[in-house]
Amino acid sequence: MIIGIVDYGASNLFSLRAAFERLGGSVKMVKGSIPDGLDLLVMPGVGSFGQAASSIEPIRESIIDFIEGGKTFLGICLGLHLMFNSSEEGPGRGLGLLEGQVRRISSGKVPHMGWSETRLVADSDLWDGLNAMEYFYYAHSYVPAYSGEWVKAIADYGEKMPAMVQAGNKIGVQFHPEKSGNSGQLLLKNIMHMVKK
Amino acid sequence: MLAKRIIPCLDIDGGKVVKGRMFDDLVVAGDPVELAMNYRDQGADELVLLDISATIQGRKTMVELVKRVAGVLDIPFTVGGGIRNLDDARAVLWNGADKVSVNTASVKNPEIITSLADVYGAQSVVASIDARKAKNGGYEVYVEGGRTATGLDAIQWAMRTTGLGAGEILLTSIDMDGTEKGYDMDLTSKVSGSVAVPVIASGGGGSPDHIYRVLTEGLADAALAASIFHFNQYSIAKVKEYLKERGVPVRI
Repeated sequence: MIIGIVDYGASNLFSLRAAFERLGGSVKMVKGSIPDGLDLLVMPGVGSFGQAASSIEPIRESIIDFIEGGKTFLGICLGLHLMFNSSEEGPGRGLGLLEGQVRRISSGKVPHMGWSETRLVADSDLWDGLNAMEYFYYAHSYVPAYSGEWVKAIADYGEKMPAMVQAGNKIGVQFHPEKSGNSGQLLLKNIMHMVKK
Repeated sequence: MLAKRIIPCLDIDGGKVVKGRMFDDLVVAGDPVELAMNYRDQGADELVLLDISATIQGRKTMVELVKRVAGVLDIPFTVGGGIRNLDDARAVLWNGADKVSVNTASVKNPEIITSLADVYGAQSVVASIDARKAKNGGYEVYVEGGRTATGLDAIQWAMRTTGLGAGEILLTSIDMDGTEKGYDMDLTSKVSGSVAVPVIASGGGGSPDHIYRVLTEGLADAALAASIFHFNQYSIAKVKEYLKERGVPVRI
């Protein structure tokens, strides 16, 4: 399986790449354009919204085409925020794949940093083998507003936060599966399994 | 609910893990990659790799080590020690560290915190603060591995670093470090109560009860320890069980 990771120049794609490679994936870094033959496109979670939005602007349309072509897209952390139109964190436009606002976290200490209990709230194949309540690792200051239908898992940090969203071939996670030990590994494995089908 | 974190710290010199007492008198304790994986398997929530090498060669070795660790470790890790400028920070972040901690460099040039936060996000920037009790009853910030007094008040400085963009504070009590007599509860609770970012308590953790106390009365979000884990006095799992029995949320 060929996995493309969007490289918007802000660092640390090393761990994400290593995580997919440990699961037998073959990884290509995506910079100027989307290479042919990708099975899964991953938008990672580093840096800030404004910077990332301007970095992906040149390939924005081809990312949307890739998804409209039925291929699977995974947004992680900031990558999840980029699935929306805009964020309070900074200027620029996201991919507009989902409706809603991305806002600064308004309760508790910010960043929301560490392992939070994450609860499945709607059936999803991506959760196969995981418990209804699992710990995942989070490190973020902004979060999409909680909104019903596409939210599959939530975290509770004074407010209910979408932890995993899934709308057809579009998947987003607020936590970092590549940094979430065994639970994260299982989730990535399930995503790769879904892509294979 | 957010779990309280247990963070083993690996002090590294020339590619090997060592543990000091009161910032000197080093003892070698093992291979970093092996130890990192061992801690991960025991249930560590995160790791800190602190480079205490004094030489350029030692620092190069550190970057190589970061890469090796990132290739196998699937929990977050912070790298600190010897981060003097943006290039040093970039080298560790590009080689797979999740966060970088800055100490002396941030006191000399506070803007480094803002520059790092702008590029990598606040969640990747840890302000490492070494503090010692002062004669006036407050706490003073020390730099250069605890050797140089700065005249800065630790609580004021902690607040300033978060204003500049630090997403987390790693707070070490120099007085307690290496003593295994417990964390500085007063210092930790004062700093944690004054800032809106998570605080990792460090220095003095010698028993599960010390960790319990600093995570509750001490208001810390995470507890860092080295010796008690390195020398297998307590496993991380045992510490977490102890915490869970007392109602502290932990990831088990």
